Amino acid sequence: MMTDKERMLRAARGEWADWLPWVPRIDLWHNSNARRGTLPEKYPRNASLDEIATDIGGGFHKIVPEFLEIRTPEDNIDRGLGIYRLQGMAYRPELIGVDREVKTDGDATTVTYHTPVGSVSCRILYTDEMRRAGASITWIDEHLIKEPKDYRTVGYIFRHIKVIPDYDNYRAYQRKVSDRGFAAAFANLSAGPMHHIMKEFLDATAFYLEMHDHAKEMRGLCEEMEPYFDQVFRVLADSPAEVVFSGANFDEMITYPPFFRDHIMPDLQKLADLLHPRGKLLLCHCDGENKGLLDLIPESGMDIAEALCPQPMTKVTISEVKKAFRGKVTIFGGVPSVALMEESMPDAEFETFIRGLLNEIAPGDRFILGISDTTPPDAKFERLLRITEMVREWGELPMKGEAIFSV
Amino acid sequence: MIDKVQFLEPLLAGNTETVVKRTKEALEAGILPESVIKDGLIPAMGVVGEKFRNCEIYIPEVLLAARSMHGAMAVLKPLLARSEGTLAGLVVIGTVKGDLHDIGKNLVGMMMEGGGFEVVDLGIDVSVERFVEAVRTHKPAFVAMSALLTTTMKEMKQTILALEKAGLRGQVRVIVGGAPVTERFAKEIGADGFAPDATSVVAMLKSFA
Repeated sequence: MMTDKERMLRAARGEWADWLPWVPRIDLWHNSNARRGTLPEKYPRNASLDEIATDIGGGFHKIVPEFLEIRTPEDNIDRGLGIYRLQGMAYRPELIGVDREVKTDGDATTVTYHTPVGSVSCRILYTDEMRRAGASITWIDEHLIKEPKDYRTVGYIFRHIKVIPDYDNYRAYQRKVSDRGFAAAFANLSAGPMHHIMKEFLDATAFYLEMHDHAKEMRGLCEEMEPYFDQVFRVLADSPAEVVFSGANFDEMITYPPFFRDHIMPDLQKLADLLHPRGKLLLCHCDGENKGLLDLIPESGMDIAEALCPQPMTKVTISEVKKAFRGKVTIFGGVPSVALMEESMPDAEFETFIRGLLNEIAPGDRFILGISDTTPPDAKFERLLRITEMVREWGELPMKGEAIFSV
Repeated sequence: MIDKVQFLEPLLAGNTETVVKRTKEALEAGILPESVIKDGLIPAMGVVGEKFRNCEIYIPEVLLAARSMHGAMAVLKPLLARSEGTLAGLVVIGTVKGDLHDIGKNLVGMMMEGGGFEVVDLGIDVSVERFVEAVRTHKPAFVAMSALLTTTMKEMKQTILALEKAGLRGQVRVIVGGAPVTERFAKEIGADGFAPDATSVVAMLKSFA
C-alpha cells in the first residue's frame, strides 16, 4: 500500500500508483466554518484542517502557502510587491536599500517604499467580511503603480532584492506534511516578471491599457525584475523540494494565448529546465478557463496543472484536457467546486456527475483528484466523504471506467 | 453617409484621437449623432466583439476599443440628451457584495456599451440595497450581477429577493454571470438570464427584445 505522497508523486511523474490519489483542498472551507462555528457537529470547534483532512480520508493538499498564518508582520507585509516570507517557504527575499513605512488604519494597511529613485505606496485590505468568507489572502486595494514614474521605482526595488535560501523553513513544513502529500515549494503567484506586473502592480483592467500606453516602461521593469526571478528559480532548484509551485490563475481571457506564449511560457520553461535535471517537478495553479491554453500548457514545461476545472464551471471536459495534454502533464483537480454545493447541483446529479468524472478519468494515469479550486464554505461536507467512498470503490489503478456505471 | 469601416481600424488600434476626430468630422458633415452611433460606432464595435469571440483579438484590444468608443460617446452624449430611444437599453451592472473582482464585470460592461446599451456601473462590493436603489433611480431594463467567488454568489439571490420585496422585480430583467455561476444556479435563484462569458452577453440581452 502506497502513502498519499507516493501516490501523488507517481501520478505527477506519469507513473502508475496503486490507487487514484484523492487530495481535496479544504482551507477556505475550514477557515470560514471554524470562524463561524459551523464545522460539522462531529468535529470539536477547534478541529484543525489536517485533522479534518485526515477524517475525510484523502491526502493533504499542501500546494498554496498559508498566506495568513503569519509569524511576524514581515511575513506578508510586502504583499503589494507580491513577495512573501511565509512559513514553509524555501527562500527569503530581503529588500536592500529600501525604507519601508507602514501605516495601519482599521482593516487597511498602507505600505510606502522609499528608494533613492522615488517612492511608491500600496494599500492592502483584510476586512471582517473577508475573514468570515474564509479568504486565504489579503486584497490589494490600491496598487503600487499609479503613474509612469512608478515603474522605475518598483524596478529599483526588485533589482535590489536579495533572495536567501531558507531550506530549514521548508524542511520543517515538509516534515509537518509528512507522507500525507507533497509539500510544494512556493516560488511566486506569478510565473515571471510581466505576469507579476499583471497580478500585483496594477488593477486588472488598467494593466491591459498600460501595456499599450506605457509598453516601454513595462519592458524596462520586466528587465529589472528578471534577476529576482532568476535567484528564486535557482534557490528552489537546489532546494530539498520535490515539487515547485510557480504561477497561478491561468485563464484564456486574462492570460490570453499570446500573453501566455510570450510572457508566461518562457519563464515556466526556464524554471522547468532547472528543475527537471534535478528530478523536480513544476506545478502551476491553473484554476481559470483553460480551453484556449490547452495546446500551450504541454509545451510550457509544466508537469502538474493544479486546480484544473472542467464543466460546468468552464468550457472543457476532462476528456478534452487529457487529449490535449497527451500524457505530458498531470491533471490535479477535476471536481468543480460548485459540484459540492446543493444550490448548484442536487444530490442525484452530484452522484451521476462524479461517476461520470471518474469514468472520464479512467484508466487514471497522470491524475490527482482534487477540488477546483477549493471547497466552498457552504459546501455539503458529506459530498467530500462520498467522493472518498467512490474513490475507494472504483479508484484502484488502472481504473475500469465501465465498472463505475454498472453499479 | 457613415459606416463602421471608418471607425473599425482606429477602434482596433485603440486610437482614441482618430475615433474622436472622425466622430467630429461626421457631425460637422451634418450626420446626426444617432446615426454616428447606430451606423458607425455600434456596428464597428460589433466587429470588435465578433473578432474577440473568434479569438482573432484578445482582451487588450477590446478594452482599448471600448476606451476609444468612450471618447467618441463623450462627444455624442450631450447631443443625444434630447433624443430618446437611440441606445438599446439601460443596464445597471455591479459585482456583488463581498466580491472585489472587477475585470469580468468591466469587460461585460464594455461589451454591452459596444452593443449599444447604456451602462451604469455600480462598481465592486455592491450591496443588495445599492442594487435596489439603483433600479429605483435609473429604471434600467436590466440588472447585471457578477461574482467570482462561491462565497459571494449567494448575494445574487438576495438581490433578486430584495427587488421582489421592493416591488421592482417585474420592471427589470436580472442577468448573472461569473466563474462559479452556472445556468442551473441562475435558474435556481430566479434570474432571467445567464451569460457564460463576456462574448455572449450582448446576444443574450438582445434576445429579450
